[in-house]
Amino acid sequence: MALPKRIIKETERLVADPAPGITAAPHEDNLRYFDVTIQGPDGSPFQNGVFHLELFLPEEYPMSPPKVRFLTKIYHPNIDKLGRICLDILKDKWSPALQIRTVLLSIQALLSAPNPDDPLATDVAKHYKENEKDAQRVSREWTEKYASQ
Amino acid sequence: MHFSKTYAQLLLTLPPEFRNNAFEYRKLKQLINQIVFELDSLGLAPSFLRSLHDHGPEMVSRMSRNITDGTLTVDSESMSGASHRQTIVYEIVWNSSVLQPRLRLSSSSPSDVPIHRNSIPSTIQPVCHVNLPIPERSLSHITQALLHTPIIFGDEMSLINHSMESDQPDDLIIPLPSDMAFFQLLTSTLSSLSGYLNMLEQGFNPVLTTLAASISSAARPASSSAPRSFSPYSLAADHSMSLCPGPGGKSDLCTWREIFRLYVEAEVFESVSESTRGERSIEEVEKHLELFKGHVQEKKEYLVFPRSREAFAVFLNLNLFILNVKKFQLANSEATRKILKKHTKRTTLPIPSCLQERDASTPTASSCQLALITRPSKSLPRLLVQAIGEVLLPIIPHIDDYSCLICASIAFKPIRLCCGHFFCVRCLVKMQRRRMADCPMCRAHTVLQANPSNVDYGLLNLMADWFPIESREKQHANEREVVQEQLEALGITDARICRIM
Repeated sequence: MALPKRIIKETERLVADPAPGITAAPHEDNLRYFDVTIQGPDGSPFQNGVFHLELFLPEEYPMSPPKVRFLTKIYHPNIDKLGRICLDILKDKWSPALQIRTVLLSIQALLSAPNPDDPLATDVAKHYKENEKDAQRVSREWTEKYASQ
Repeated sequence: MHFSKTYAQLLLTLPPEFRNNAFEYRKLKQLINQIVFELDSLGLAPSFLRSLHDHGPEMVSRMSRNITDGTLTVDSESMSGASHRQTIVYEIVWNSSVLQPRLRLSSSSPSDVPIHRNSIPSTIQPVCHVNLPIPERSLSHITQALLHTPIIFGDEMSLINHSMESDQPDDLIIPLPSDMAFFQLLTSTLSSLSGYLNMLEQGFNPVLTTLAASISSAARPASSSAPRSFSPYSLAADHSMSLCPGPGGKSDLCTWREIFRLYVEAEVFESVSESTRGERSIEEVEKHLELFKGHVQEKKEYLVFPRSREAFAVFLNLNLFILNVKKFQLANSEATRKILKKHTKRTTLPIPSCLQERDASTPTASSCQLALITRPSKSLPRLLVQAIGEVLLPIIPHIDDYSCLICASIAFKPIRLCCGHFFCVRCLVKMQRRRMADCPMCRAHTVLQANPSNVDYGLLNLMADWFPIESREKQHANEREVVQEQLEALGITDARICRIM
C-alpha cells in the first residue's frame, strides 16, 4: 500500500526542519515506523537527558493516533515501566488535525509539566505528590543514569 | 583592511544613487584628528585623560533620562571617599537642535551632589555626560593650559563663562568646536540617510503594485481564459462539465504559481525554519537568491506571455534592489559604530551609551532628541520583503490555503462544518463512519451533523477555477477510493482488480 501524501509531507518536514530538541527519522524498511529522540526540557529534572522513543503510524492514521512509547527508562508519573505514555491527545482527545510534530512537542511539554493527578505509574505519582523535591531528585538520577548520551 | 577602504569598495558595487547618500567616513576621521589636536592644546591630551581613567575611581558615564525636569541622577558611589574632588565632565547638551559637546570642570564638595538642575533653562539641557574624576593638582594644570590657549576658541571665548550655569558658579565650561562639527556632520548624514531610505521605500511600492497588476493579468484563472465553458458549481449543475477548463485557453497561472512557490521555498531574505529563523546575512541572501534563480531557470521558459517574462525580470530586479538596500544599510550602521568607536578611542572622551544604543526598546525623551539614534525601528529591507509578501504573492492563491488538514491534499470537494472549518468530503465521510463527532480544529460537535447542504460551493468554484489540475486529480482520487471501498465491502480486497475496472 502506497504511503499517503500526508505522511510523506509530514516526514519531509520533520527531517528538513526539525523542532528544537526533537528528532524523528523513519525506518528505511518501514516508513510508518520512526526513531525519535527528545531532549529533556531545560529547568525540568530531565534536563540534559536525551530520551529515545519509538513512534508508529497505524494504517488508520490520521484517523487514529500514532502509537508512541519511551524506550529510555524515565521516572515520570505519566510514563510507566514499559514506556507507555498517559497523554489525552494520544487517546480520546486525538484529532486528525494533530501531527507527529505536535504529538512529540506535547510529550516534550509533558516532561516539563508532570501531572501526578492523572497517573500511569502510580508509585511515581504518589512519590511526586507526597514529596515532590525527592521525586525530582530520583528523576534527575534516572536521567543521569539512563538518558545521558 | 581599513574600514574606510572596505566601505568605499562596497559603495562601488552599489548603484550610483546610493553612493551619493553615503557616509563621509574620511571627513569624520579628519574631524576626530582635529578634536585630538584641540584637546591637546587644552592640556587634555588623550594620553593624559587615559591616565585619569586608569588611576581614578571608575569613570562615571551618566545621562539624564528624564529630560523634562532636568533632574540628573548622580552616581554617588564614585564620589564617596573624597572630601573635595574636582571633576571634569564630558557632556553633550542639546541646544537649539544642535548637539553641543563640551567639557565641564567643576570643583564641588560632596554635599553639592546629587545635583538638581531644575533651574537650567529648557533650551540648554545636558542630555548625557561623563565624569572624569581628576586629582586636585591636575586641575590647576588644566586651568593654566586654558589660560594660555585662548586663541583656540576665538570669539567663543565668551562661552567660557563662570556664571553661565547659575547653580554651579565654579564650573568652567569648555566648548569643543571640532567635536561639535563632528557630531553635526554625523547627525546630518544620518538624518539625510534616513530621509533617503524613506524615499526609496515610497518609490518601491508603486513599482510593486504595477508588477502585481501585470502578473495577475497574465496568470488568470481557468474561467477567464474560457469564459463560455465555465459554469459555476451548484446543486443543479452538471458537475462533470465545469471541471474542464476551455481548450486552448492561455494562462501563465501554473508557471507563476510554481515560480512563487520556488521563491517562497528559497526563503531568500528571511529563514522560517525552526533552527535558523530570522533575517539572513548578506552572504546567505546572495546564496539563496542564486539558488532561486537556478531553480526558476527552467520554469520561466514556460511563461507564455511576453509581459510575463518582462514581469519576471522586474521581479528579479526588485529582489536585487532589496539586497542592495540591505548591504547599504548594514554598511552604514557599521560605519556609525566604527566612527563612534574611533572617536572614543582617539579622544578618550567616552561617548555616553545613550548615543550608541541601537535598538529603540526604551524610547525616552532624550533618545528621541538625539538624531544620532534616529534609526528606523524596523529595517527597510525587511519592510520591502514584507511588501512583496503582502502585495505580490497573494495575487495567486496558494494551495496550502485550500488544502484539507487531514489528508494534506486540496480540500476538494470542500465541506464547511457549522463551526466554520472546512475539510474534504472524503475525510469527513471517513470520520462520520467512525462516529468521530468533534471538529478536528476546534472540537465542536459538528462533524456528524454535516450533510450535502454543507458543501461550500463558493469555495468549490474558486478551487475549480484557480486549481483546475489539482481539483481534477483530487476528484479522480476520491472516485478511485470510493470504488475501492465498495469492492472491499463486497469482499474483494485485491487492489489490482480495481485497477482493471
